[in-house]
Amino acid sequence: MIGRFNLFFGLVLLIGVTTSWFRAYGQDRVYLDITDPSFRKLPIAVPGFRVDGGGASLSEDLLATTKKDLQISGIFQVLDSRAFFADPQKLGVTAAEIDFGQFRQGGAEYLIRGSYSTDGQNIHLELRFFDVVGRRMLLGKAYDGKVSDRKLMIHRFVDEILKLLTGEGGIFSTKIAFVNKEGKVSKIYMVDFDGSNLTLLTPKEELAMSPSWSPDGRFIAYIGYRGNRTALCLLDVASRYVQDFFLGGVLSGVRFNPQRGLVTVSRSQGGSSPEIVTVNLQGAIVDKVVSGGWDIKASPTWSPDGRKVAYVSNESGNPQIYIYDVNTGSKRRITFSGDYNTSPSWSPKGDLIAYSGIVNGHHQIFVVNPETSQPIQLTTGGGNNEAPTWSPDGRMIAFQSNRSGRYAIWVMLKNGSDARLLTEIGGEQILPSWSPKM
Amino acid sequence: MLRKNWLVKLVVAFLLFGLFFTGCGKKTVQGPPMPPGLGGPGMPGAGSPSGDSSFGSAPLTDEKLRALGITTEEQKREFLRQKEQFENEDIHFDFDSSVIREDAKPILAKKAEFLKKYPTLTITIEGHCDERGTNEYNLALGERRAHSAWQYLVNLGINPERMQMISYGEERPIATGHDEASWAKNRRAHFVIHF
Repeated sequence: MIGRFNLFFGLVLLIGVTTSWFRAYGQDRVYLDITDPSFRKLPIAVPGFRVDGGGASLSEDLLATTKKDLQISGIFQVLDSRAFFADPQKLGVTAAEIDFGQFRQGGAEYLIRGSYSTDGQNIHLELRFFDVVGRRMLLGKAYDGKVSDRKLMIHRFVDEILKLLTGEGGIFSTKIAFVNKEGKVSKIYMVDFDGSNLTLLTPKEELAMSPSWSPDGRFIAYIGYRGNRTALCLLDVASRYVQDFFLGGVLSGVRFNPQRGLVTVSRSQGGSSPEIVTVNLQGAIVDKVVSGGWDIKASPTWSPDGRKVAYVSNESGNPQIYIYDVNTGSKRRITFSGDYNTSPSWSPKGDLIAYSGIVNGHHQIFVVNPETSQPIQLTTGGGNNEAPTWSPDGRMIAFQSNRSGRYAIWVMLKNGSDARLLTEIGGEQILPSWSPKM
Repeated sequence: MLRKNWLVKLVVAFLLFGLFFTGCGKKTVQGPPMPPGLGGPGMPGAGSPSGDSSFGSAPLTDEKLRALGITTEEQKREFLRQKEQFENEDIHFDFDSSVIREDAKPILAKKAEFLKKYPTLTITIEGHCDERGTNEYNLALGERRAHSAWQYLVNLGINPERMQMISYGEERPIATGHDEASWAKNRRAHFVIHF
């Protein structure tokens, strides 16, 4: 069972998110912009969880999950001060019980207190998020469910915190699909946003490339090799059912259109010009988006409004990124520095296109505003950084990198900071695709 | 459903194999042993959805040789020699280029001659790249390389219907080093005969 979680969370606590807290920041509903260059991470303390009953000893596990989620959020700096680690059994969990001064002295501006009890396979988990400076609770929730779903409960809670602070939920219900290469065999896998739950999606494939999530998270389209032919494959993620579509010609670089539930793919046939075509979910070509000329037209990526497509062409003599406006039929180049700019990925907000460009012999990730064509380099160093894909909230970018030797999937904030290794598995991982929120 | 079809085809292919070898009991022409990679019985290939680049490779039977007009031992030896050369001699490309180089032209001319001599043969042209580009762009570049070779052979009079194309980008290197010598070998078009 993939993709949909059946959890019955009992929300028994929902206390104390008041407008007064927002006033503490000066105005109503001013959210944090974590990608603002002046943004400073919020120091937060997370003491051990209090056990309120039951035999299971999950404190360490719950604490580790909470800290990892907070780190991944990109918003918090988790403090490691010993001062916070008094016996968690003796430490209060409500605002009235907590000695905020102690945490403030240790440098914390925020605090999460957790407590839980277990009963056989069931867990009751309470999580509270405090403003240490204002000495008040900002968010409190209780979750009832299976012990095995405890990580999901924490993901949901940290997601709620993100919603509170930034105005929208984070990536805590998302997955990242990618190609894993082991020798000559390349299959598609997926992991959760935090790198856990590695799942093989295409056990039968020998060579599969370019996975792309559908906007509803139900399908992954990819290119599958069938002997001496390439097929456009449509994988139903829940059932693992795969449909193959043969469009004629050589196919590469498939992406969903975010608006129309259609798939766009690069196709070349003998004697005719390479083109970018749109295909419906029955495998019929419904539109030729870009065609004409003998130049390469690779890696189509749609603007979130579905009106423009960015792609790679070598019509200037080397690969550069172009935007084609479907409504006006006009085309323009948006990369002008460097002689190898490929793998464009349009951000979910529409304001940026991430891509990789060669600098001093290495691929590096850039973002460029499609209107101004001013690129900003996000990665540096001696390794290659390629194939960027955006998180659905637009805050992060996953990409493939061989900075540590073999290619693996990494994730960073969209300003280039906080890069972390997502996939620690055998083989080499390439061509990530970030799912929508599910 | 299509997956099932593949499976059915695979099973049928194996059954036919069995019938052919046990039922007919036909003797194969005596000659040099088949070079590896041609696909003997039991090799994955026909109908298999594997990524094996020698798709369609099946045993080279007497029947198939006769269909090519080969009836004597000498003709067979000559055919196998030329076939080996055809499949083992790649053409190479410059970095990020799909332009047919001067050194590739005599090789392609030989391939055209071979295809004209055996006009029923069909082939797949594979385009490959070195590791320096990005994976997806290299799939497109590999296609352009295969297409350049295809176009060159069409211009030499080969029926385009006889030639399929595929691109493996940088996913199937023959040299695994990370230096120009390896990269130069990997920037290639490779030619595979269907039997």
